[in-house]
Amino acid sequence: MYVFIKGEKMYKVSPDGNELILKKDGTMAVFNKESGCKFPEGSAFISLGAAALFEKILMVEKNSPVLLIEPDIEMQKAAAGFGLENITYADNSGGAAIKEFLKKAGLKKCANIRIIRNRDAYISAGSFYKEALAAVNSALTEEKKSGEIRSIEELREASKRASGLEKEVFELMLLVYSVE
Amino acid sequence: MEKILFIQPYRYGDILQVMPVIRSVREALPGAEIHFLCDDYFAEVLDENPYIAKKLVFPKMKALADMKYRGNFTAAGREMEDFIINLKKEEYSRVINLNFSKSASLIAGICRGAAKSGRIIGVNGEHKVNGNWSSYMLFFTAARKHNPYNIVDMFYMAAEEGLGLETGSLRREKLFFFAPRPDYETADKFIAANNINAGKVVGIQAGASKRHRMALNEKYHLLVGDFNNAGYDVVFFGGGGEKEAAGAVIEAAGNSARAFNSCGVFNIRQNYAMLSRMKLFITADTLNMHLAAAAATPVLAIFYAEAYPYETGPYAPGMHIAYPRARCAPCHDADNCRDRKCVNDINMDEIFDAGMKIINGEDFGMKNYGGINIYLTGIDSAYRLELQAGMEDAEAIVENIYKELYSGYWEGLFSGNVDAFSTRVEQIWEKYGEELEANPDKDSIIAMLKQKASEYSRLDAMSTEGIEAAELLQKAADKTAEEKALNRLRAADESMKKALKKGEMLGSYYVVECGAAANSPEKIKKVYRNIKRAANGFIFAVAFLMQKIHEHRLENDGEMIIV
Repeated sequence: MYVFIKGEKMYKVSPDGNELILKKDGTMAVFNKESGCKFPEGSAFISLGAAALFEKILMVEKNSPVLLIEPDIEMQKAAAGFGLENITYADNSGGAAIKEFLKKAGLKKCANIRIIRNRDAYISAGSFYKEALAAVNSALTEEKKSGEIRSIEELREASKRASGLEKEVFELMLLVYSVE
Repeated sequence: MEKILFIQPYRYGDILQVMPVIRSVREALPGAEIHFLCDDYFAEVLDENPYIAKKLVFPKMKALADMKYRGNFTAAGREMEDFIINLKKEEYSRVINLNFSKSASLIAGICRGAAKSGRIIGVNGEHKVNGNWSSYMLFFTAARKHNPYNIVDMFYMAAEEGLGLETGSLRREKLFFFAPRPDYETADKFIAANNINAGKVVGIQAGASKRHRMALNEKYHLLVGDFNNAGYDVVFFGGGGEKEAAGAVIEAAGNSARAFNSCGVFNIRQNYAMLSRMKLFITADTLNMHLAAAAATPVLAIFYAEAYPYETGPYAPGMHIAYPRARCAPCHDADNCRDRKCVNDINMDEIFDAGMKIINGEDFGMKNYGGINIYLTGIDSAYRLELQAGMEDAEAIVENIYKELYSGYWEGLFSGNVDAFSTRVEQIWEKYGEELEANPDKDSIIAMLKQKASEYSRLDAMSTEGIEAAELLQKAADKTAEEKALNRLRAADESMKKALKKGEMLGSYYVVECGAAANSPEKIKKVYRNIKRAANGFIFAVAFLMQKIHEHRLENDGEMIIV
């Protein structure tokens, strides 16, 4: 599962105007502005402001959950005109909406989540973005606590259910623990 | 440009023994970017190494401590996650895994590489071994009595295979290590502070990381006395855990003994610097043995029980190994050994005598050391051991012949030409025939050869049984026939496993190869066929040599030999 937080200043992060996205395996992907963005299946999006949608930077797959935080009601209506499904609207960047959204999107494991972070965008987006980010971090921290592994038995069980990077991490931890 | 990852995460000695390979790869592929992966406990071995572009540190000890001692699985998870994310940022053209632990193999499976060699484990447990020499490394330790290769040569051959190079194409380099100047100064300060005779000092390591490689402490004080009497001071080496044992040896040597305890005093680089100051270093099969060899300090390594000179002898020319003549050596179960013949038979007078010969550069001549053989190491196209003293001549000839036969067999098997074995046998006769014919103890040579031949006759019969059982399984028309074939296959399997327990090399080959293809009768049949061909090759070789001796006797004295 991925969470992409989009802000209107966020996509111009690479020198050639394309945007960089940190994927869950830690590698960076470049998404071309002209051809649109193709996000991995199962992605979830938090868009700070509707501008990103207008500019077609976000080519959200149908049924990918999107949380659009946009205080301007007119902009909200315009975004709805794109015909995208599965959009939740919120008029502020408060934590409650974000937590609820993450929960609905089925984001239960913190290890699966990566957030696009860009220092410049972070600064320019000001308090609006900061609040949203803090809310996501807070939600993730809560998830972390609830999903925390406390014993080797829990680790074994968690590994059986895991996949991808998480599975690799757990399997390696199990081997380290067994002290071959 | 080649971007190569070598994986060898654990044990100082093993990592050190890969270093010659890295150096040779850099020489053969000057544009290659070489990365090396090891764990956080051993990573310091790679410091200062100019041949490695990047060191990847697997946070094993940190994660282990977090999980086991702090109960913090979350922290361990983050460490592992960061490690994997960083590892995956690299895209390698080749990944060469030289370690067979599950964790190293899983890392080899996780990382990104166009071509991977060695043992690879997938995240869902799928498992394979890429490369003949990697397979060999995986099973040789089960039957090391017949292993003719040094581990460094095995690393070389596995690397050559992983790099797509011809076997033997990388130049063989001796062990090497690096220590910056301040470390030499630290070593010299220790020597000066203890008023040690810098020009005449012998190093001894009485301990080892494994109990069965450890010497009996009560014998070592005798060496201290002997070397002191010859005008040499003695410095004891080892880790902090060996400090007490070394102290006990020094105490047993008496108040006036000129012996000094450096156990636990130095880090690995300072230790290396200190070893370079020794005139001779006497040790078991330890990391310090390899470090001393890297420093070109003359080594007299006393190999006990599980250690085997061909396998882990110091990969540098001019080093000496004392090896027990006990028939049970090398053994596979040292921890449960009661009589410890390999240790008890070591006579410290003989070790001292051999040590002084090495210091003075004297020839060993025909000296017969009762309980030990003394070997001299060499490197040309591969590691070489030359018998200096101890072993009877006839025994030595048979050993040399068999080492060559075994290497001929494995090389033939891996090149897909086991039948080339007969050519090798003729070469062996060319090489040793004259010596063999001239030997007055031909009868014992023949007896030893016959004993070997009977071992291979058993293997021949076992493999025939295996081939037939696998064929029956392939043809089985119904459940009953299938079960019958499976029973025969299981019986053959048991026989091979028993052969493995006896230390018969082909038994271990079978277990590993068939273990990897348990559900394929075709593959099992192929493995049994290889064993049969190899066994026949050995029988042929022995018969050939015996026939040659027989012909020679008929020619010379008309004596008949019943073969």
